[in-house]
Amino acid sequence: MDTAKVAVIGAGISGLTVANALSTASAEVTLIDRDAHPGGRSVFYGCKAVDTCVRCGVCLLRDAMSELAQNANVNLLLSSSPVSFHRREDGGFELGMQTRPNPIDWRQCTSCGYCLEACPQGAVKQIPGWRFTIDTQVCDECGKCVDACPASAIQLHREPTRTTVDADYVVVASGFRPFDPAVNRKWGYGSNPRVIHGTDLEHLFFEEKYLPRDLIEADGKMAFIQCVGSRNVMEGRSGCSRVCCAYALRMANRIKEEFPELQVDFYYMDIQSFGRNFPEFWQDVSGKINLIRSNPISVKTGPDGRPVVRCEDPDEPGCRESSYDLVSLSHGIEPEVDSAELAELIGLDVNADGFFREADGVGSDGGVFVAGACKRPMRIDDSVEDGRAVSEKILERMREASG
Amino acid sequence: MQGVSVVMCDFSCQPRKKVDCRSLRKELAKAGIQVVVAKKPCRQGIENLDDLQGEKVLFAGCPLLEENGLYGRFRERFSAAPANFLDLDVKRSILDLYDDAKSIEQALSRSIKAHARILEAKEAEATETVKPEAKVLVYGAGYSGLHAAAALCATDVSVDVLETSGPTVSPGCLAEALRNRDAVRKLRAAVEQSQNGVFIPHRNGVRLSALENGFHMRTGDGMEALYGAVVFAPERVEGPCAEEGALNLSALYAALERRQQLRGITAFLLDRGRPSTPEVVRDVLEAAKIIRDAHRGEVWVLLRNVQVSLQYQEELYGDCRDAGVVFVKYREDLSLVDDYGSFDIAGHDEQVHTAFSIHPDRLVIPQIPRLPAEAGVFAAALKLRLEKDEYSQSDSLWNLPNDTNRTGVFAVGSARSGMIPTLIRQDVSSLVAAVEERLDPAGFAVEENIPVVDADKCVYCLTCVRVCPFGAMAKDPEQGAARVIASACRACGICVAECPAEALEVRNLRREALFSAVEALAEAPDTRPPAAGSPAAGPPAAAPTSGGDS
Repeated sequence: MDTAKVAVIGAGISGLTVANALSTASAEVTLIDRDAHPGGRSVFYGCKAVDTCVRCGVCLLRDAMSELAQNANVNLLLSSSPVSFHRREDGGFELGMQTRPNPIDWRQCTSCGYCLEACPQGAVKQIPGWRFTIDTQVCDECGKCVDACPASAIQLHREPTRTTVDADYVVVASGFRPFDPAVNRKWGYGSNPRVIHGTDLEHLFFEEKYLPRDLIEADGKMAFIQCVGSRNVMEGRSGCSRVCCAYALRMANRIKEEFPELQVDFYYMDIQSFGRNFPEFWQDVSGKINLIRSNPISVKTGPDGRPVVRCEDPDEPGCRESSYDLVSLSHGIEPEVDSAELAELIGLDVNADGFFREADGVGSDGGVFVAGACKRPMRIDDSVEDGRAVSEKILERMREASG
Repeated sequence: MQGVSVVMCDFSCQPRKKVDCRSLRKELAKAGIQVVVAKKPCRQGIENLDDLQGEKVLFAGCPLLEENGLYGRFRERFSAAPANFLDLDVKRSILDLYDDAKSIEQALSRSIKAHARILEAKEAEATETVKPEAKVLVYGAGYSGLHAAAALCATDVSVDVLETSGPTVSPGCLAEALRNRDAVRKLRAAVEQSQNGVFIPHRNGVRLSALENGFHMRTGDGMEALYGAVVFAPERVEGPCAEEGALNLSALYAALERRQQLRGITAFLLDRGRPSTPEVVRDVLEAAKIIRDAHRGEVWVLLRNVQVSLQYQEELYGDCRDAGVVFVKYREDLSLVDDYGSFDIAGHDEQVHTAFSIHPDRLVIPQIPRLPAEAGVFAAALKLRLEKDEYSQSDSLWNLPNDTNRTGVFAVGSARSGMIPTLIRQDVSSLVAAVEERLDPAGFAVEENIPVVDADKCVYCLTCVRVCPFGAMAKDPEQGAARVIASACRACGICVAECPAEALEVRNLRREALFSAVEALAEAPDTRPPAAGSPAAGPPAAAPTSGGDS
């Protein structure tokens, strides 16, 4: 059969899963991502195993990325976004792509890291499991990285380019956006440096490998606040984001492993169970943390500069206030900021929450599929399962097409 | 050493570490190893490769060489068999760990020598391809099994469905089965009407043995068949409640199906002893809503945490509240008094801080869904490892979506996890992909490093058969020795380690080769940097004492 061409928009975990699965079935895959690296959001998450695996799924992503690296059939198009979308008469698709190449050419980069050392602005980022990229928002173009690079892989000004991607099938795997707690002043995000969110905590704990020093001294106290931006009609998301109880409990468990003396308070509404061995995990972790069944009213700054969490006291009538050294807001999953535009460009249906509807071969004669968290909140393992299921649906279409 | 050449990167991407490749090359030449130093192989490819044709080649470089397709091109160009090729990532394992050139060079020297010995000992074996029989056995004619069978029939593979006497739907799907009473029947009809789907009644005495190209099944009434793949898809059954007179969820749904009027007070009690799962809560919410809307009964749902992580479940919860279902999040001090089917439940509501007490006419306590005994027997016959709560897939993420401990045996739907119907349908899609891959007409290649049985040494104790996690070792009564089922083996090496007679060796990596490699590593002094945080950590290890440097 003729080699089918598939364009996958989004190289996060579900896009990677689809690309890897289809490329082994002799399809020619173009994997597109607007970032300068594949892996999407979860590339910055860390493994939360303590003495046993807790099934957080981060290793699945790492594995998908190394599979991608060895995959000759996947054409990786980074720093690119679709700007036009046409259905051809013969049933295929033409995507107009705009590419704004990163100063670091990933094909030349040897991951030596000298650019990171040379950069005075901290604009060079090491992408876990990948190479180095430059954050052009932070870069002041001093050029020290260019001089330091032994592979001559850095060029500060690269011209944007336009290309066309032809495809018989298109998979939208554009992912999600984490809720930005700054939009609601009650959370205190942005007004106190000790109030961070779940994604910040991943960076802090795994990349920079530290928590604020005084936090881990004897009386250190930390709070996790669940359902930030979820289960709250006022914040625009009435549904549960599915991932936050899982990631916050695993993170709390991991942090307690490293800092056993740290007091961890966990503010929640309902604990969502996840995975088949949840009862054992829950028995273990619930003994290590302080469960407070209350969704806080506010997080303000106290007179000593530390954040103060105010909530309805779950035990006594009235309110309770507690001071912490660090507050982590477990923010939820929302549709991507440009998902409405992407939906219009490609012709996807959007549900009341703004997520894309399941689409297996929609369009005038099919060919457009949707995978991953752009449809509904998904954990890493859910995304892999979904990606595989979508891959098979495409393979089925490919089989039918070849007769 | 004859016949092993090393292609080493020049490490020019690390100019500060100043690795002296030329002196390293001379030193290795003294040990009989020919070294070619390649200039920036990740960018410029490798020149002068033609001289290496027919040799065994060891690459000492970094992951970029693999990523940039270099190894693939080399293998293709010289049709390099696996026995003639080995690649090392010396960047992560050596270069990144040291700052001084001397330590790096010594570590590289040791590592290259050791791996060259391993490569030298690797035997050239033909790779075997196995072509499984193009037939699938689906165990279970319930919702999951029939969905799977229907989807597989549509791909033209021959499907036999082994009927069971268990339930046709599992908790998680009860609400949908009630709404769509014909679902299972229609799926069954789809399989019956397809040209390649056959139902086999399950009788006792099914025997399964694994062969190279599939699973051989013999039933008690003499039917025999060979299957390239087996799909394990039994539905799960709720046990009865320990509390006499209480109903489990299935019994409640049976009552709803019979259109029994559920007046009075119905109470659901969840999370006692164990947290509930989202799909069971789905069925609870749906039933609660039906009882309110259609039967006008009073409904209480007593639980500790409302499970809303499935899509649209928060809305369903809201709809239940709007319909007048009373939700109580109880504290640990809940008391349940069971007086021969008449219940008194009392406790504290955590949300409104008041005590509550009810005397329901009907108490529903969802039970943990279990594997039917019959299915357990079949799983044992298949040497399928049943994990937590008898789910037929371990909790390891690496088995996702449908793998089990046995190659060629897949789990789908309710067999592998509690699921709602939409997720079962999705799961069936990925199952079809997995089965198609397994039954690829081109066959699949057997693992390179499978064990080889030395029949003279084997004492037929069958320890290997017992310890193999993948069911890949079996008895060979004619030989009086164990035999390897190459298609199921995943080359983990456990049997080799456990064999008391040392009758098993890894093909392609015999004991002598391993011992030589260990010797090579032992010859040079240890120049590894001390572990970070240990008292010995500080500046990198000083140059070793004279003597013992090779």
